[in-house]
Amino acid sequence: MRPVALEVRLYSAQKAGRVSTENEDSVGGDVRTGRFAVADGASTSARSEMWSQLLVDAYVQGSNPFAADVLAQLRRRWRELVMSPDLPWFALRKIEEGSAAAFLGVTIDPDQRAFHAIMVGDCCLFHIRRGQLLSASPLDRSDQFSRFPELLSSRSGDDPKEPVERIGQLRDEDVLVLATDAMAKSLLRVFETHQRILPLDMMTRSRDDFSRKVASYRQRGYLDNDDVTLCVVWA
Amino acid sequence: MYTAEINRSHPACLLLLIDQSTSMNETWAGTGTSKADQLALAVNRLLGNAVLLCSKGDDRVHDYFDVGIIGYAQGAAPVLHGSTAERPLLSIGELARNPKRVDPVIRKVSDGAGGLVEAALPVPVWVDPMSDGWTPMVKAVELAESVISQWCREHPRSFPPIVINVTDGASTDGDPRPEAARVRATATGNGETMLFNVHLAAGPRQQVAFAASAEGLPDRNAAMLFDMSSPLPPPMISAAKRLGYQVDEGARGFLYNAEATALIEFLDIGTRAVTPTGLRELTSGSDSMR
Repeated sequence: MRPVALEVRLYSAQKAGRVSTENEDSVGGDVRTGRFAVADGASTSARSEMWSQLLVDAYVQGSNPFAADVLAQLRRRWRELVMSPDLPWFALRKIEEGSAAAFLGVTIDPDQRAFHAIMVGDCCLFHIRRGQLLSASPLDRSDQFSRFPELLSSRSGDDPKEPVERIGQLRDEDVLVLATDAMAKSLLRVFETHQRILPLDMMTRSRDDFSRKVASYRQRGYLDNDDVTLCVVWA
Repeated sequence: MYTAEINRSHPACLLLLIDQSTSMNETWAGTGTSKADQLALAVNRLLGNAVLLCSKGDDRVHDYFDVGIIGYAQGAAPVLHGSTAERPLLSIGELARNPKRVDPVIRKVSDGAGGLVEAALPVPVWVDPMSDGWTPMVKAVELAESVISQWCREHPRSFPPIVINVTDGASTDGDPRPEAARVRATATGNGETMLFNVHLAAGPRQQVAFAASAEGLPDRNAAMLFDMSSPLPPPMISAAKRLGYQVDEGARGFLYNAEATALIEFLDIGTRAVTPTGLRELTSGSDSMR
Protein backbone atom coordinates (compact mmCIF):
# COMPACT_ATOMS: atom_id res chain seq x y z
CA MET A 1 0.00 0.00 0.00
CA ARG A 2 1.40 3.39 -1.01
CA PRO A 3 1.53 5.82 1.94
CA VAL A 4 -0.79 8.76 1.64
CA ALA A 5 0.78 12.22 1.36
CA LEU A 6 -0.76 14.90 3.53
CA GLU A 7 -1.27 18.59 3.02
CA VAL A 8 -2.81 20.80 5.68
CA ARG A 9 -4.18 24.32 5.90
CA LEU A 10 -5.29 25.72 9.19
CA TYR A 11 -6.90 29.03 10.00
CA SER A 12 -8.73 30.66 12.84
CA ALA A 13 -10.58 33.98 13.07
CA GLN A 14 -11.99 35.75 16.07
CA LYS A 15 -15.55 36.99 16.36
CA ALA A 16 -16.41 40.09 14.40
CA GLY A 17 -15.83 43.13 16.56
CA ARG A 18 -13.07 41.53 18.63
CA VAL A 19 -9.30 41.51 18.38
CA SER A 20 -7.30 38.40 17.55
CA THR A 21 -5.99 38.00 21.11
CA GLU A 22 -9.60 37.45 22.18
CA ASN A 23 -9.92 34.36 19.98
CA GLU A 24 -10.57 31.43 22.32
CA ASP A 25 -10.28 28.77 19.62
CA SER A 26 -6.97 27.02 19.03
CA VAL A 27 -5.71 24.95 16.14
CA GLY A 28 -2.53 23.02 15.42
CA GLY A 29 -1.18 20.30 13.18
CA ASP A 30 1.95 18.58 11.97
CA VAL A 31 1.98 16.69 8.64
CA ARG A 32 5.17 14.85 9.66
CA THR A 33 3.50 13.19 12.63
CA GLY A 34 0.00 13.24 11.13
CA ARG A 35 -1.50 14.81 14.26
CA PHE A 36 -4.03 17.62 14.07
CA ALA A 37 -6.29 19.24 16.64
CA VAL A 38 -8.78 22.03 17.23
CA ALA A 39 -10.26 23.26 20.52
CA ASP A 40 -12.91 25.80 21.40
CA GLY A 41 -12.48 27.48 24.78
CA ALA A 42 -15.64 28.24 26.74
CA SER A 43 -16.10 32.01 26.82
CA THR A 44 -17.76 31.94 30.21
CA SER A 45 -14.80 30.13 31.74
CA ALA A 46 -11.42 31.51 32.83
CA ARG A 47 -8.58 32.05 30.37
CA SER A 48 -10.06 29.59 27.93
CA GLU A 49 -7.75 30.68 25.11
CA MET A 50 -4.89 29.36 27.24
CA TRP A 51 -6.65 26.09 28.04
CA SER A 52 -7.64 25.38 24.43
CA GLN A 53 -4.07 26.08 23.29
CA LEU A 54 -2.61 23.72 25.91
CA LEU A 55 -4.95 20.91 24.81
CA VAL A 56 -4.13 21.38 21.13
CA ASP A 57 -0.37 21.64 21.69
CA ALA A 58 -0.33 18.56 23.89
CA TYR A 59 -2.18 16.50 21.30
CA VAL A 60 -0.13 17.66 18.32
CA GLN A 61 3.04 16.90 20.27
CA GLY A 62 1.92 13.32 20.79
CA SER A 63 0.00 13.25 24.09
CA ASN A 64 -3.59 12.29 24.75
CA PRO A 65 -5.27 15.02 26.83
CA PHE A 66 -7.86 12.52 28.03
CA ALA A 67 -5.23 10.34 29.71
CA ALA A 68 -5.37 10.95 33.47
CA ASP A 69 -1.66 11.75 33.88
CA VAL A 70 -1.57 14.07 30.85
CA LEU A 71 -4.74 15.85 31.92
CA ALA A 72 -3.42 16.35 35.46
CA GLN A 73 -0.22 17.80 34.05
CA LEU A 74 -2.11 20.13 31.69
CA ARG A 75 -4.30 21.30 34.51
CA ARG A 76 -1.28 22.13 36.66
CA ARG A 77 0.36 23.89 33.74
CA TRP A 78 -2.76 25.97 33.03
CA ARG A 79 -2.89 27.06 36.65
CA GLU A 80 0.79 28.00 36.63
CA LEU A 81 0.31 30.05 33.48
CA VAL A 82 -2.77 31.98 34.58
CA MET A 83 -1.89 32.62 38.22
CA SER A 84 0.11 35.63 39.22
CA PRO A 85 0.47 37.38 42.57
CA ASP A 86 -1.01 40.71 41.48
CA LEU A 87 -4.31 39.47 40.06
CA PRO A 88 -7.48 41.34 41.11
CA TRP A 89 -10.11 39.58 43.22
CA PHE A 90 -12.38 38.80 40.27
CA ALA A 91 -9.58 37.09 38.34
CA LEU A 92 -8.69 34.93 41.34
CA ARG A 93 -12.32 33.92 41.80
CA LYS A 94 -12.75 33.23 38.10
CA ILE A 95 -9.64 31.06 38.01
CA GLU A 96 -11.04 29.04 40.92
CA GLU A 97 -14.04 28.27 38.69
CA GLY A 98 -11.61 26.85 36.11
CA SER A 99 -11.59 26.70 32.34
CA ALA A 100 -13.20 24.39 29.81
CA ALA A 101 -13.05 23.62 26.11
CA ALA A 102 -14.47 21.41 23.41
CA PHE A 103 -11.71 19.40 21.77
CA LEU A 104 -11.03 17.28 18.69
CA GLY A 105 -7.79 15.53 17.85
CA VAL A 106 -7.08 13.43 14.75
CA THR A 107 -4.10 11.17 14.08
CA ILE A 108 -3.47 9.93 10.55
CA ASP A 109 -1.31 6.92 9.83
CA PRO A 110 -0.14 7.59 6.25
CA ASP A 111 1.22 4.06 5.82
CA GLN A 112 -2.02 2.39 6.80
CA ARG A 113 -4.11 5.17 5.20
CA ALA A 114 -6.09 5.21 8.43
CA PHE A 115 -7.19 7.86 10.84
CA HIS A 116 -8.23 7.85 14.48
CA ALA A 117 -10.15 10.74 16.05
CA ILE A 118 -10.89 11.54 19.67
CA MET A 119 -13.26 14.30 20.69
CA VAL A 120 -15.49 15.89 23.28
CA GLY A 121 -18.11 18.56 22.73
CA ASP A 122 -19.08 20.06 19.42
CA CYS A 123 -15.81 20.43 17.54
CA CYS A 124 -16.58 18.26 14.52
CA LEU A 125 -14.70 16.03 12.14
CA PHE A 126 -15.88 15.74 8.52
CA HIS A 127 -14.70 13.03 6.14
CA ILE A 128 -15.20 14.16 2.55
CA ARG A 129 -14.66 12.12 -0.61
CA ARG A 130 -15.06 13.61 -4.10
CA GLY A 131 -17.21 16.43 -2.79
CA GLN A 132 -19.50 14.08 -0.87
CA LEU A 133 -19.81 14.01 2.92
CA LEU A 134 -19.00 10.47 4.04
CA SER A 135 -19.35 11.17 7.77
CA ALA A 136 -19.59 13.91 10.36
CA SER A 137 -18.78 13.35 14.04
CA PRO A 138 -19.75 13.70 16.80
CA LEU A 139 -22.66 15.79 15.47
CA ASP A 140 -24.09 15.17 12.03
CA ARG A 141 -27.00 17.61 11.88
CA SER A 142 -26.95 21.37 12.27
CA ASP A 143 -29.82 21.30 14.76
CA GLN A 144 -27.80 19.18 17.20
CA PHE A 145 -25.64 22.09 18.36
CA SER A 146 -26.67 23.30 21.80
CA ARG A 147 -25.60 25.87 24.33
CA PHE A 148 -24.27 23.24 26.67
CA PRO A 149 -21.91 20.84 24.91
CA GLU A 150 -19.73 18.55 26.97
CA LEU A 151 -16.35 20.10 27.66
CA LEU A 152 -12.96 19.12 28.94
CA SER A 153 -12.42 21.02 32.19
CA SER A 154 -9.28 22.38 33.81
CA ARG A 155 -10.71 21.76 37.28
CA SER A 156 -8.93 18.95 39.00
CA GLY A 157 -12.12 17.67 40.63
CA ASP A 158 -13.96 17.27 37.32
CA ASP A 159 -13.64 13.81 35.79
CA PRO A 160 -13.18 14.06 32.04
CA LYS A 161 -16.16 12.94 29.99
CA GLU A 162 -15.68 9.73 28.06
CA PRO A 163 -14.40 10.95 24.69
CA VAL A 164 -16.06 9.97 21.43
CA GLU A 165 -13.69 8.01 19.18
CA ARG A 166 -13.88 7.45 15.44
CA ILE A 167 -11.72 5.54 12.99
CA GLY A 168 -11.69 5.54 9.21
CA GLN A 169 -9.77 4.76 6.04
CA LEU A 170 -8.45 7.37 3.64
CA ARG A 171 -8.26 7.20 -0.14
CA ASP A 172 -6.31 9.54 -2.39
CA GLU A 173 -7.84 12.99 -2.48
CA ASP A 174 -10.02 12.38 0.59
CA VAL A 175 -10.37 15.42 2.81
CA LEU A 176 -10.61 15.54 6.60
CA VAL A 177 -11.98 18.74 8.08
CA LEU A 178 -11.65 19.64 11.73
CA ALA A 179 -13.88 22.56 12.68
CA THR A 180 -15.03 24.34 15.80
CA ASP A 181 -18.77 24.67 16.26
CA ALA A 182 -19.67 27.72 14.17
CA MET A 183 -17.94 26.44 11.05
CA ALA A 184 -19.09 22.87 11.70
CA LYS A 185 -22.68 24.01 11.99
CA SER A 186 -22.35 26.05 8.83
CA LEU A 187 -20.86 23.12 6.89
CA LEU A 188 -23.72 20.89 8.00
CA ARG A 189 -26.37 23.52 7.29
CA VAL A 190 -25.11 24.10 3.76
CA PHE A 191 -24.90 20.37 3.17
CA GLU A 192 -28.45 19.84 4.45
CA THR A 193 -29.82 22.64 2.29
CA HIS A 194 -27.81 22.29 -0.90
CA GLN A 195 -26.25 18.80 -0.66
CA ARG A 196 -22.86 20.33 -1.25
CA ILE A 197 -19.73 21.14 0.71
CA LEU A 198 -18.54 24.71 1.19
CA PRO A 199 -15.61 25.47 -1.17
CA LEU A 200 -12.86 24.56 1.30
CA ASP A 201 -10.02 24.83 -1.18
CA MET A 202 -10.96 28.33 -2.25
CA MET A 203 -11.70 29.34 1.31
CA THR A 204 -8.29 28.29 2.63
CA ARG A 205 -5.99 29.45 -0.19
CA SER A 206 -4.62 32.18 2.04
CA ARG A 207 -5.31 33.90 5.33
CA ASP A 208 -6.89 36.78 3.44
CA ASP A 209 -9.19 34.44 1.53
CA PHE A 210 -10.23 32.79 4.79
CA SER A 211 -10.93 36.15 6.47
CA ARG A 212 -12.89 37.40 3.45
CA LYS A 213 -15.00 34.25 3.23
CA VAL A 214 -15.72 34.23 6.97
CA ALA A 215 -16.81 37.87 6.83
CA SER A 216 -18.96 37.20 3.78
CA TYR A 217 -20.63 34.10 5.28
CA ARG A 218 -21.33 35.99 8.50
CA GLN A 219 -22.87 38.85 6.60
CA ARG A 220 -25.07 36.51 4.58
CA GLY A 221 -26.16 34.67 7.73
CA TYR A 222 -24.46 31.37 6.82
CA LEU A 223 -22.09 31.57 9.76
CA ASP A 224 -22.79 32.50 13.39
CA ASN A 225 -20.72 35.35 14.77
CA ASP A 226 -18.38 33.23 16.85
CA ASP A 227 -14.69 32.38 16.80
CA VAL A 228 -14.19 30.27 13.69
CA THR A 229 -11.51 27.64 13.20
CA LEU A 230 -10.83 25.28 10.35
CA CYS A 231 -8.15 22.65 9.84
CA VAL A 232 -8.37 21.01 6.40
CA VAL A 233 -6.21 17.96 5.70
CA TRP A 234 -5.93 16.69 2.12
CA ALA A 235 -4.81 13.14 1.52
CA MET B 1 -38.94 42.18 21.68
CA TYR B 2 -36.45 41.24 24.39
CA THR B 3 -34.14 39.68 21.84
CA ALA B 4 -31.35 42.27 21.52
CA GLU B 5 -27.83 40.99 21.67
CA ILE B 6 -26.11 42.18 24.83
CA ASN B 7 -22.55 43.11 24.05
CA ARG B 8 -19.95 45.69 24.91
CA SER B 9 -21.40 48.21 22.47
CA HIS B 10 -24.93 47.58 23.69
CA PRO B 11 -24.80 46.74 27.39
CA ALA B 12 -27.77 45.80 29.55
CA CYS B 13 -28.86 47.69 32.65
CA LEU B 14 -29.75 46.37 36.08
CA LEU B 15 -31.10 48.76 38.71
CA LEU B 16 -31.96 47.62 42.22
CA LEU B 17 -34.19 49.59 44.58
CA ILE B 18 -33.49 48.64 48.18
CA ASP B 19 -35.70 49.41 51.13
CA GLN B 20 -33.48 50.60 54.01
CA SER B 21 -36.28 51.45 56.44
CA THR B 22 -35.97 50.75 60.19
CA SER B 23 -38.09 47.61 59.95
CA MET B 24 -35.40 46.01 57.78
CA ASN B 25 -33.52 45.59 61.05
CA GLU B 26 -36.01 42.94 62.15
CA THR B 27 -35.00 39.30 62.07
CA TRP B 28 -35.95 37.58 58.83
CA ALA B 29 -37.99 34.46 59.34
CA GLY B 30 -35.79 31.40 59.55
CA THR B 31 -32.46 33.16 58.92
CA GLY B 32 -31.40 34.27 62.40
CA THR B 33 -30.20 37.56 60.93
CA SER B 34 -31.92 40.77 59.93
CA LYS B 35 -33.60 41.40 56.61
CA ALA B 36 -31.08 44.17 55.97
CA ASP B 37 -28.17 41.77 56.57
CA GLN B 38 -29.61 39.11 54.30
CA LEU B 39 -30.47 41.61 51.59
CA ALA B 40 -26.96 43.08 51.62
CA LEU B 41 -25.56 39.54 51.39
CA ALA B 42 -27.83 38.67 48.48
CA VAL B 43 -27.06 41.90 46.62
CA ASN B 44 -23.30 41.59 47.08
CA ARG B 45 -23.50 38.00 45.90
CA LEU B 46 -25.54 39.02 42.86
CA LEU B 47 -23.07 41.75 41.94
CA GLY B 48 -20.10 39.45 42.53
CA ASN B 49 -21.61 36.82 40.25
CA ALA B 50 -22.35 39.42 37.59
CA VAL B 51 -18.71 40.54 37.68
CA LEU B 52 -17.50 36.94 37.40
CA LEU B 53 -19.78 36.39 34.43
CA CYS B 54 -18.05 39.26 32.67
CA SER B 55 -14.52 38.39 33.83
CA LYS B 56 -12.05 36.44 31.72
CA GLY B 57 -9.76 35.34 34.55
CA ASP B 58 -7.20 38.14 34.25
CA ASP B 59 -7.55 41.90 34.60
CA ARG B 60 -10.23 42.05 31.89
CA VAL B 61 -13.89 42.61 32.72
CA HIS B 62 -16.12 43.05 29.70
CA ASP B 63 -18.70 45.77 30.18
CA TYR B 64 -21.88 43.86 29.43
CA PHE B 65 -23.89 45.54 32.20
CA ASP B 66 -24.47 48.90 33.77
CA VAL B 67 -25.52 48.53 37.39
CA GLY B 68 -27.02 50.82 40.00
CA ILE B 69 -28.60 50.61 43.43
CA ILE B 70 -31.04 53.14 44.85
CA GLY B 71 -31.53 52.92 48.61
CA TYR B 72 -34.62 54.42 50.20
CA ALA B 73 -35.22 55.35 53.84
CA GLN B 74 -34.16 58.95 54.44
CA GLY B 75 -35.28 59.92 50.96
CA ALA B 76 -33.94 57.99 47.98
CA ALA B 77 -30.38 58.08 46.64
CA PRO B 78 -27.77 55.95 44.85
CA VAL B 79 -26.04 53.76 47.43
CA LEU B 80 -23.81 51.57 45.28
CA HIS B 81 -20.22 52.19 46.32
CA GLY B 82 -18.62 54.47 43.73
CA SER B 83 -21.89 55.79 42.31
CA THR B 84 -23.11 59.35 42.84
CA ALA B 85 -26.28 61.33 42.22
CA GLU B 86 -24.69 62.49 38.96
CA ARG B 87 -23.53 58.98 38.00
CA PRO B 88 -26.06 56.59 39.55
CA LEU B 89 -25.06 53.73 37.24
CA LEU B 90 -21.62 52.12 36.98
CA SER B 91 -20.31 49.81 34.33
CA ILE B 92 -19.65 46.28 35.56
CA GLY B 93 -15.92 46.92 35.01
CA GLU B 94 -15.97 49.97 37.29
CA LEU B 95 -17.92 47.96 39.83
CA ALA B 96 -15.39 45.12 39.67
CA ARG B 97 -12.41 47.40 40.20
CA ASN B 98 -13.91 49.46 42.96
CA PRO B 99 -15.66 47.43 45.67
CA LYS B 100 -16.09 49.07 49.04
CA ARG B 101 -13.83 46.34 50.43
CA VAL B 102 -12.86 42.76 49.74
CA ASP B 103 -13.38 40.37 52.66
CA PRO B 104 -11.31 37.18 52.81
CA VAL B 105 -13.60 34.21 53.35
CA ILE B 106 -12.08 30.81 54.11
CA ARG B 107 -13.33 28.12 51.76
CA LYS B 108 -12.17 24.76 50.50
CA VAL B 109 -10.75 25.08 47.01
CA SER B 110 -8.98 22.81 44.55
CA ASP B 111 -5.26 22.32 45.14
CA GLY B 112 -4.78 21.68 41.43
CA ALA B 113 -3.85 18.05 42.01
CA GLY B 114 -7.17 16.44 42.83
CA GLY B 115 -7.42 17.51 46.45
CA LEU B 116 -8.95 20.35 48.44
CA VAL B 117 -7.19 22.91 50.58
CA GLU B 118 -8.49 25.75 52.71
CA ALA B 119 -7.88 29.11 51.13
CA ALA B 120 -9.00 32.67 51.67
CA LEU B 121 -11.31 33.52 48.78
CA PRO B 122 -11.76 37.23 48.14
CA VAL B 123 -15.41 38.23 48.60
CA PRO B 124 -16.23 41.79 47.50
CA VAL B 125 -18.68 44.07 49.27
CA TRP B 126 -20.39 47.02 47.61
CA VAL B 127 -23.29 47.59 49.98
CA ASP B 128 -23.50 47.24 53.75
CA PRO B 129 -26.76 46.61 55.62
CA MET B 130 -28.70 49.77 56.51
CA SER B 131 -32.00 50.17 58.29
CA ASP B 132 -32.91 53.64 59.41
CA GLY B 133 -35.93 55.56 58.22
CA TRP B 134 -39.28 55.25 56.46
CA THR B 135 -40.25 53.61 53.18
CA PRO B 136 -40.42 56.42 50.60
CA MET B 137 -41.11 54.11 47.69
CA VAL B 138 -42.64 56.83 45.53
CA LYS B 139 -39.40 58.81 45.71
CA ALA B 140 -37.35 55.69 44.94
CA VAL B 141 -39.42 54.71 41.91
CA GLU B 142 -39.46 58.31 40.74
CA LEU B 143 -35.65 58.43 40.89
CA ALA B 144 -35.49 55.08 39.11
CA GLU B 145 -37.63 56.48 36.31
CA SER B 146 -35.29 59.41 35.84
CA VAL B 147 -32.18 57.17 35.85
CA ILE B 148 -33.68 54.59 33.52
CA SER B 149 -35.22 57.02 31.05
CA GLN B 150 -31.84 58.69 30.57
CA TRP B 151 -30.14 55.31 30.16
CA CYS B 152 -32.73 54.27 27.55
CA ARG B 153 -32.12 57.48 25.61
CA GLU B 154 -28.39 56.74 25.60
CA HIS B 155 -28.84 53.04 24.70
CA PRO B 156 -31.69 52.88 22.17
CA ARG B 157 -30.51 49.55 20.73
CA SER B 158 -29.85 47.78 24.03
CA PHE B 159 -31.81 45.07 25.78
CA PRO B 160 -34.35 46.92 27.98
CA PRO B 161 -33.42 47.67 31.61
CA ILE B 162 -34.39 45.43 34.50
CA VAL B 163 -35.42 47.18 37.71
CA ILE B 164 -35.90 45.11 40.87
CA ASN B 165 -37.49 46.69 43.91
CA VAL B 166 -36.93 44.89 47.23
CA THR B 167 -38.99 46.02 50.24
CA ASP B 168 -40.36 44.68 53.50
CA GLY B 169 -43.26 47.04 53.90
CA ALA B 170 -45.70 49.48 52.47
CA SER B 171 -44.86 52.80 50.89
CA THR B 172 -44.93 55.66 53.37
CA ASP B 173 -44.98 58.50 50.85
CA GLY B 174 -48.03 57.57 48.83
CA ASP B 175 -49.08 55.19 46.10
CA PRO B 176 -46.10 54.42 43.84
CA ARG B 177 -48.19 52.83 41.06
CA PRO B 178 -48.22 55.90 38.77
CA GLU B 179 -44.42 56.20 39.07
CA ALA B 180 -44.09 52.45 38.50
CA ALA B 181 -46.18 52.75 35.34
CA ARG B 182 -43.83 55.47 34.12
CA VAL B 183 -40.81 53.23 34.78
CA ARG B 184 -42.45 50.41 32.81
CA ALA B 185 -43.24 52.83 30.00
CA THR B 186 -39.57 53.69 29.48
CA ALA B 187 -38.15 51.60 26.70
CA THR B 188 -35.34 50.92 24.33
CA GLY B 189 -36.01 49.89 20.74
CA ASN B 190 -36.02 46.33 22.01
CA GLY B 191 -38.85 46.57 24.54
CA GLU B 192 -40.16 48.21 27.66
CA THR B 193 -38.31 48.30 30.96
CA MET B 194 -39.14 45.41 33.26
CA LEU B 195 -39.99 46.34 36.83
CA PHE B 196 -40.10 43.50 39.34
CA ASN B 197 -41.03 43.63 43.00
CA VAL B 198 -39.99 41.50 45.95
CA HIS B 199 -41.57 41.79 49.38
CA LEU B 200 -39.69 40.22 52.27
CA ALA B 201 -41.63 38.19 54.85
CA ALA B 202 -41.89 39.62 58.36
CA GLY B 203 -42.54 36.17 59.79
CA PRO B 204 -43.50 32.69 58.68
CA ARG B 205 -46.24 33.49 56.18
CA GLN B 206 -47.53 32.08 52.93
CA GLN B 207 -45.18 33.05 50.11
CA VAL B 208 -46.68 34.18 46.81
CA ALA B 209 -44.38 33.77 43.82
CA PHE B 210 -44.90 34.91 40.23
CA ALA B 211 -48.66 35.43 40.51
CA ALA B 212 -50.56 35.88 37.25
CA SER B 213 -53.48 37.75 38.84
CA ALA B 214 -54.13 39.84 41.94
CA GLU B 215 -56.93 37.51 42.96
CA GLY B 216 -56.27 35.85 46.29
CA LEU B 217 -53.36 38.07 47.26
CA PRO B 218 -53.18 38.45 51.06
CA ASP B 219 -53.57 42.24 51.41
CA ARG B 220 -53.73 45.63 49.68
CA ASN B 221 -49.97 46.09 49.81
CA ALA B 222 -49.52 42.83 47.93
CA ALA B 223 -52.05 43.97 45.33
CA MET B 224 -50.22 47.26 44.97
CA LEU B 225 -46.84 45.60 44.41
CA PHE B 226 -48.48 43.17 41.98
CA ASP B 227 -49.92 46.10 40.02
CA MET B 228 -46.48 47.68 39.86
CA SER B 229 -44.84 44.54 38.43
CA SER B 230 -44.14 43.70 34.79
CA PRO B 231 -45.05 40.37 33.24
CA LEU B 232 -42.14 37.96 33.00
CA PRO B 233 -40.65 37.63 29.51
CA PRO B 234 -40.42 34.05 28.19
CA PRO B 235 -36.73 33.47 29.07
CA MET B 236 -37.46 34.43 32.65
CA ILE B 237 -40.50 32.15 32.81
CA SER B 238 -38.24 29.29 31.71
CA ALA B 239 -35.62 30.22 34.31
CA ALA B 240 -38.25 30.30 37.08
CA LYS B 241 -39.69 26.95 35.98
CA ARG B 242 -36.22 25.41 35.98
CA LEU B 243 -35.93 26.42 39.64
CA GLY B 244 -39.17 24.60 40.38
CA TYR B 245 -41.63 27.51 40.56
CA GLN B 246 -45.16 27.07 39.29
CA VAL B 247 -45.37 29.83 36.68
CA ASP B 248 -48.53 30.42 34.68
CA GLU B 249 -49.12 32.42 31.51
CA GLY B 250 -49.09 36.13 32.33
CA ALA B 251 -47.08 35.63 35.52
CA ARG B 252 -45.48 38.77 36.85
CA GLY B 253 -42.07 39.43 38.34
CA PHE B 254 -43.52 39.59 41.81
CA LEU B 255 -42.68 37.83 45.04
CA TYR B 256 -44.61 38.41 48.28
CA ASN B 257 -43.68 37.27 51.80
CA ALA B 258 -40.47 36.00 50.28
CA GLU B 259 -38.16 33.69 52.17
CA ALA B 260 -34.40 34.24 52.04
CA THR B 261 -33.71 31.54 49.46
CA ALA B 262 -36.53 32.80 47.26
CA LEU B 263 -35.01 36.29 47.25
CA ILE B 264 -31.66 34.89 46.10
CA GLU B 265 -33.35 32.80 43.42
CA PHE B 266 -35.43 35.75 42.28
CA LEU B 267 -32.37 37.96 41.88
CA ASP B 268 -30.66 35.12 40.05
CA ILE B 269 -33.61 34.68 37.68
CA GLY B 270 -33.68 38.44 37.15
CA THR B 271 -30.15 38.51 35.83
CA ARG B 272 -30.29 35.13 34.12
CA ALA B 273 -33.41 36.20 32.28
CA VAL B 274 -31.40 38.02 29.71
CA THR B 275 -28.92 35.21 29.14
CA PRO B 276 -30.68 32.78 26.79
CA THR B 277 -31.50 35.33 24.13
CA GLY B 278 -29.40 38.20 25.14
CA LEU B 279 -25.82 37.55 26.06
CA ARG B 280 -24.67 36.53 22.63
CA GLU B 281 -21.30 38.16 22.75
CA LEU B 282 -20.77 37.05 26.29
CA THR B 283 -21.73 33.51 25.44
CA SER B 284 -19.77 33.50 22.20
CA GLY B 285 -22.18 32.78 19.43
CA SER B 286 -25.90 32.96 18.99
CA ASP B 287 -26.68 29.69 20.68
CA SER B 288 -23.65 28.77 22.65
CA MET B 289 -22.47 29.18 26.19
CA ARG B 290 -18.94 29.28 24.83
